[in-house]
Amino acid sequence: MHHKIVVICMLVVAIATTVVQSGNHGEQDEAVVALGRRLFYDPVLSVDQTTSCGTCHQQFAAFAHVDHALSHGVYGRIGTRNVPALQNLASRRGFMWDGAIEHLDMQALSPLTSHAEMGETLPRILEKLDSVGWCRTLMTQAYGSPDITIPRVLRALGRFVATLESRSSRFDRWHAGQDTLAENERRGYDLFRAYCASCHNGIDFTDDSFRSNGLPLDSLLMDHGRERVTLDEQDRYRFKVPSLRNVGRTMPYMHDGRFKRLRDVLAHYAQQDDLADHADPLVRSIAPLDDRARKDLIAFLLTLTDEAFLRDTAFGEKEVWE
Amino acid sequence: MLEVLLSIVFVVHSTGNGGQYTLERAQWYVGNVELHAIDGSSYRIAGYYLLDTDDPQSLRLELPELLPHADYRSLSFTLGVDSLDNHGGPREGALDPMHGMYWTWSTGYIFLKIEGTASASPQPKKRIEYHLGGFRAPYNNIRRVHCAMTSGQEARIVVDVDAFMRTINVAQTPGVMDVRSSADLIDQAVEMFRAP
Repeated sequence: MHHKIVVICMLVVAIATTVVQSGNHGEQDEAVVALGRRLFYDPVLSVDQTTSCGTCHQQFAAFAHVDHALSHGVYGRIGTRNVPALQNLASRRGFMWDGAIEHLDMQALSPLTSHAEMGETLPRILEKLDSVGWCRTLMTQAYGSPDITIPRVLRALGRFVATLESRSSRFDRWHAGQDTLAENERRGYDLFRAYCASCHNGIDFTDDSFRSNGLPLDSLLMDHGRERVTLDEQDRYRFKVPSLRNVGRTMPYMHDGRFKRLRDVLAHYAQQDDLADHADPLVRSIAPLDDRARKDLIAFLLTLTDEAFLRDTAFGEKEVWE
Repeated sequence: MLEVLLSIVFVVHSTGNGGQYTLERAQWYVGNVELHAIDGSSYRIAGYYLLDTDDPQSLRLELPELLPHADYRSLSFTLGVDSLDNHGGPREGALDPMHGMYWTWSTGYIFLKIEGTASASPQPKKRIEYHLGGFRAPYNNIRRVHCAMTSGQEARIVVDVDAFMRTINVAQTPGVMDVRSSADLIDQAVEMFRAP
């Protein structure tokens, strides 16, 4: 027997939750960044308190996860994609390999709550942050009051990662007329401009587009890329064109980390023999490159390494705990 | 000039359509409410409310401002979150991602959730879950809802979940969680909201 249920709600007390625009009122930039950095390195945000953002985003690897093809999360869970480097994000459009997140301050939602990454719920994150002494202090310094809220947590993380700016590689210095490139590096740069810079263009060597680089589908991961976001078949197998800054340190490569070395990546593009049907036309137009050309290209790519960025103590974990 | 304080009360109507389904929880965004007076004037109140049957107080909106006195005969609101607000960063209040109304894998807010059980559902525990959202073409599912209202200090809107459920073949569609499938159901969802 089913009871008829008519829910009629007429309560005297009314609480309307209206939107309070985030704004910058009372917000102290440096303190927001400091809070974000503290949160970034704190494993308390993960469900089993083992995994921080910094666990997988390692500074010496330009905040990628060196030697890990796929992301490693709580309870030994393995994700489905390679950990991307974090650098010059304030200039990017669309985050994650498929662009699912469009605002940098919203990006942390994904790893925080992803089952295979930090696996935590937002209410529990608030509970845990409420129980640690430092959080209210840092919230007050950052936002003018001790309230701990998810938008505040997200914004702080977003502001911290936005400070991760890499613009002082040897290539940058050469470009500014302050350094030299060797002959092979110059040749590599010419090749790069001829064959790579259609997609890897601009100051950060990415056009922020989503393209298929012709990698055959991994039948285990079955990752259809950006199609999941747009539900447009045209976007099947398309992934974000990554920035190439510090690319010499962010191995392994591609959205699923299938290539361990830069020369494997170049072999994939240059040999063109196992490009999948869905390869972007620009990938198809890359000429076969001989061994010397590939070495020159790699020599150029290594000039994009920014040692100062990789060692900048303002971004590191160490001082956070001191 | 006289001013009035208006409240809008949402009354959820869910009898189960003769035992076919049971509503456990409904949540939806109401944005940018606009009151329309008989003289053609209108008054808009910017901002969002999250309504939630688990929090009955939330079903009664006290508009935060006094309205100019007029003979209001209809109201409209956005069912969902406008494109601009969907693109923005984290917001406090109704749009706080903590409410679980945000898709991290598919861009943007969930506008409406209807969850429960139905005898025809092939899902485990006979679950039904309709999560509708999507703000970008070709799946722009942002809709404006228009309802007649009687003049007075309290406007009532019926949320006829029975009517929504009658339009759905539960055996075929026990759940929806993406913007494309949302597009198939959003207009039926709009039809749920009506004057008493």
